[in-house]
Amino acid sequence: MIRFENVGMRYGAGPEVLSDISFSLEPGAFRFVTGPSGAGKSSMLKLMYLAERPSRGLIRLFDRDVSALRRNEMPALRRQIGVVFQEFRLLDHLSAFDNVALPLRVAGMPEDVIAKHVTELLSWVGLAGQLDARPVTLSGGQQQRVAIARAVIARPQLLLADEPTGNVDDAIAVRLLYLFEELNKVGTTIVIATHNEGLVSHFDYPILHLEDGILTTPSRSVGS
Amino acid sequence: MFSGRLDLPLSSDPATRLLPWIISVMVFLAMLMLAGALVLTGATSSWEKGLSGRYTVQIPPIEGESTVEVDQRIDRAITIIERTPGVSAAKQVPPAEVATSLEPWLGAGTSVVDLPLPHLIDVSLADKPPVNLGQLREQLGLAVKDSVVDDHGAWRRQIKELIYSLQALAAGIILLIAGCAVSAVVFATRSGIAVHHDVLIVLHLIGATDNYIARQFQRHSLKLAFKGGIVGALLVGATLAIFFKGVAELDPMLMPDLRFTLWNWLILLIVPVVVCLIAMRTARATVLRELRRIQ
Repeated sequence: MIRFENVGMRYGAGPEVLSDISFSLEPGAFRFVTGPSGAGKSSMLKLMYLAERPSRGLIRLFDRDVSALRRNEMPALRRQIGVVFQEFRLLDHLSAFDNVALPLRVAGMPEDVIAKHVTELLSWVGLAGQLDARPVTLSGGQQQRVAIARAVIARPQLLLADEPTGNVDDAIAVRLLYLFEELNKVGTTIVIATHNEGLVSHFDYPILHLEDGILTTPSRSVGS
Repeated sequence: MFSGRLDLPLSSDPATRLLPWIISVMVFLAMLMLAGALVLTGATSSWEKGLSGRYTVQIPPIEGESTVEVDQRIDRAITIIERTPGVSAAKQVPPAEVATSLEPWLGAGTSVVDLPLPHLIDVSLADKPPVNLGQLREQLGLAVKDSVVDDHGAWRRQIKELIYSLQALAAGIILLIAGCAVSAVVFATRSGIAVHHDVLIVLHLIGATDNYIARQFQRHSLKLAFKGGIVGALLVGATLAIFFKGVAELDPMLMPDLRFTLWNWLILLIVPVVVCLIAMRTARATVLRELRRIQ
């Protein structure tokens, strides 16, 4: 599913924010990416959801060499990846319904099917009464649920979440992680970046721990 | 045509708010230029058509010549002309008709009897055989002193040149206007891309293709161009209606044949359609080019 080999990454001409990252994930894996702020967690996820390219090393995603991907091949690959962005990146001018519907619309799904799926999913995350609400009128937790719904609506094979529990209290955070666990049980590969190691301790999944852009051995376990 | 959801808030862009007005002015100018070219081309064409297939023979007056002598010279000329192969008819233009045609310049009631005007013979040509103009001139010159055969060749050449010049001028100005319209759409589209850069990134990251995004911009541009086109076309319609109302009130003897046919109107309506297509295609091309720079 994902393979990193000696991957390095830098933004522009700046210093490397990730150095010599090597690991691989099989389909259906569940990993936490931990580490302090600035350790490179978000950068690693950006490489996985094809927002950035590595400055060196090899990344294979769905058995494709990312560096060799042509521009017109990217959208199809990205549709297999669901992303919960750190700042949600909801589109403020669209309703909660339309935000969640976006991945299905760009995939060209018919509107009646979209309406059914989106309504069901928003009800499932407890936002049945907020279908027409704009993101700015929603609380942080509600926005987060909309972001998660948008990430999973197209049933991606790979789900990446960058600090998905950052804006909610621990009880809700644990519930959200149970939601990810349920998705993992139906075959979705999950990678969650978080600095909340207390939360991670509730679950028994392997951890990719980053310190200053380098993958290190965490106190509990390392996925490799 | 304009249905379909926009994932980008393009309608609220300050840079595109003026676009319909800019396009309406472009459409107005382009349609007006085309209308002018069509009217003048029609007028000069009908003028040229009136002169083709005809000669005019001028018999200059001779001082002290009696009416009988004049008639004899004219009859002699007509006989020679009618015998010429390729001529279908020849008849003298009545002096009263000459006087009427000069009336707008000389004023009503002016006597042309005392003026040394030439006597005119209107010659109609058959389709075949072609008239041997040199031979006709030679024969008339021998039989009727100082007679002149005018085949209107110089006039017709000048009129044709005028038509071509007008058409070239109109085409040049319309191309300039189209260039301005393209620039306005490129500017508005680039501005939209800059303003919505973050939204575009999100759309890309969830799997939107460049074509999907370009369709949103091109649909929006088409909508704005359509609005502008309607306004521009209505303004041109009103302007031409006022113009032709004014023309109808003028003396037809002084005016060329200024007509605007149904075909002319249909040709004119191509302008807003073409502007809509230009706006749509320009927006699409601009977005696709700019998106390649983004990622």
